[in-house]
Amino acid sequence: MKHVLIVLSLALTFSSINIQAAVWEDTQSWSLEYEQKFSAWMQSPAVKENMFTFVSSPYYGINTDCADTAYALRAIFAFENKLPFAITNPSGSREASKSLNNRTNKFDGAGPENKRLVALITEIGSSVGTENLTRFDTFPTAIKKIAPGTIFTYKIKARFKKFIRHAYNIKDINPVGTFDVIYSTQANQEKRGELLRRREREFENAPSDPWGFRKFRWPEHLASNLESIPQELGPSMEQFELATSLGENAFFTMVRKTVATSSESTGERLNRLFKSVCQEAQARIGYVNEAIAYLEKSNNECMDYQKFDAFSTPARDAALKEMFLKFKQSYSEARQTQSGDAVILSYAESVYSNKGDKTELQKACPVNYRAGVSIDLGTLWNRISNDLLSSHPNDIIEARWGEVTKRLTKCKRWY
Amino acid sequence: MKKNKKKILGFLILGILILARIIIHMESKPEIDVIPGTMKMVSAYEKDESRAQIDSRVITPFTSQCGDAQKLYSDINEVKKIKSVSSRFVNTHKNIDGVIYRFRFFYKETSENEVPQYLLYQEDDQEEDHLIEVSPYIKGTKFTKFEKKNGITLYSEEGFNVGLDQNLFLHFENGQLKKIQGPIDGKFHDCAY
Repeated sequence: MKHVLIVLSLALTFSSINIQAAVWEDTQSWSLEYEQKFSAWMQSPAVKENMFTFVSSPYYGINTDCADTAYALRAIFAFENKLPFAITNPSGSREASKSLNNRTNKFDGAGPENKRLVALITEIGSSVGTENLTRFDTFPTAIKKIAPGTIFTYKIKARFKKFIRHAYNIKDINPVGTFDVIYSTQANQEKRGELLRRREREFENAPSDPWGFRKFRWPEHLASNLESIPQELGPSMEQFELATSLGENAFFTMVRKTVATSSESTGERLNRLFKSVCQEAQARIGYVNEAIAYLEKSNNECMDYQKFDAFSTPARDAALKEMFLKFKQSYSEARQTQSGDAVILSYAESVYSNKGDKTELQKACPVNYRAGVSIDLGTLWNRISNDLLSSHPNDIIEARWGEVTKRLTKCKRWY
Repeated sequence: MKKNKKKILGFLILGILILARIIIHMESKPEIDVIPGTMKMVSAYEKDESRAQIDSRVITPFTSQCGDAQKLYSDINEVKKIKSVSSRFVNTHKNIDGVIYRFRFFYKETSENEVPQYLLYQEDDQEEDHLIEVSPYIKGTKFTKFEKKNGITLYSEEGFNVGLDQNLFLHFENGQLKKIQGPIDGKFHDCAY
């Protein structure tokens, strides 16, 4: 009897070892209908900021940066609808392992289905970035086919011949043609924060082949030419041609008008841009304070490359300046056409003429960047336009906000 | 009387034609600011009937360009000699003492920059790769250890960016050109081979 039990338990042990399971079984196929469902899902409340951080969420534990978020959302939708999911295998497409996909059994040890999905997404996050996303796993789309679920990727030059790349997921398209985006960043991933959201995003950085508006390839279209992708999905290189011929501003104006379902008056645009400038200016308080908190913890040590990378803000500062410039242009248009809300016009005048009483502007958008110090957007713009803000994470808070231009850090600027 | 009727009918038809012309003219008017010289493209874009023409114009040519582009960049050794070339990722599969390891190097973007990332995978007997080490910035200890060992290279894959703006992307597998993406002489390419 004892021997029988031993044999039985051994047999059970080996049989459990040999159980192999896909991450999930796919029983459906991608189709135009499923693409529409994907768009509807992206718009829905199911796709939300805390979907990876809310403890009772089935996807709790996923921690993503920008490209990983796009992969994660696509994988989750495929998982929930029993669809196949595949990306070009990051480790190399030799023989049988052409793609990394839902049928792999290498995450067997992760536990139930949803945990295997988390493990798959985590591995994707370690293995790829926006270059894989843009170059291998997505295709450029016609402007008219931009929809919720479309990704916008870009690459811009940074200092010292480096490049900054990023990806936004379009959650929804607002009636006036601006984008509601959900995304993450490396800094956000580091602190395991909720996904980030901007509800009225206008993109900068015009498409430059292959960076721009892109959609996921179906598994059967990986590593194939654009012509193999169904025309109904809208594969097209037109955005690159249009961006080149029109220039950045006209291109994005054209995109906005093409995807819009209602028109936006000059005054409405001015209001919206004021809110956006205010939101971005106040968001900088958080970025800078993260660096200041780290400096306090590290006793003001000079940051190494990795920390400098996580806490410096040159690209975000450039984006904030760009937003102020858009608001300024909109203000100029509103004045020319004698339109716009008188209150917002007066705010804009206070910002750009730097004259008059700024009490109301200060009340409308206070930038309270350190205890006891709150500035208005006019003061901030004055500092930005005079290049007084410091993006160096080792600088003291007064220098980061351009309040002082002396006592700057002597720590190395890595890029 | 008959003559008058004919005249009225004639005026009516003329009026309808003029009205139709005005409506067509108003609809084709561009609604957005455009750079001089580009109006045709944008105004055509906003009209659905012209859309089909634009789509076919931008989709069809890229395949015909792919053959020419392939000739330019088919030799990986020549590509490596290009002054502006930079390696974006490398995957190498090596059989070391009967175990197959996959070495991967690529650039992972960060908020303000990009950092090198080194990964090591070990294959099981079904050629399934299992990630065993991830190391940002510098090679990890296992990566370094196995990289030094002699072995038989089974597979190699490399991606390059070329050009002043690093816009052109070339992808090779085992020395064979597999993909070209980006502008060449002002024409946009997305070619798989």
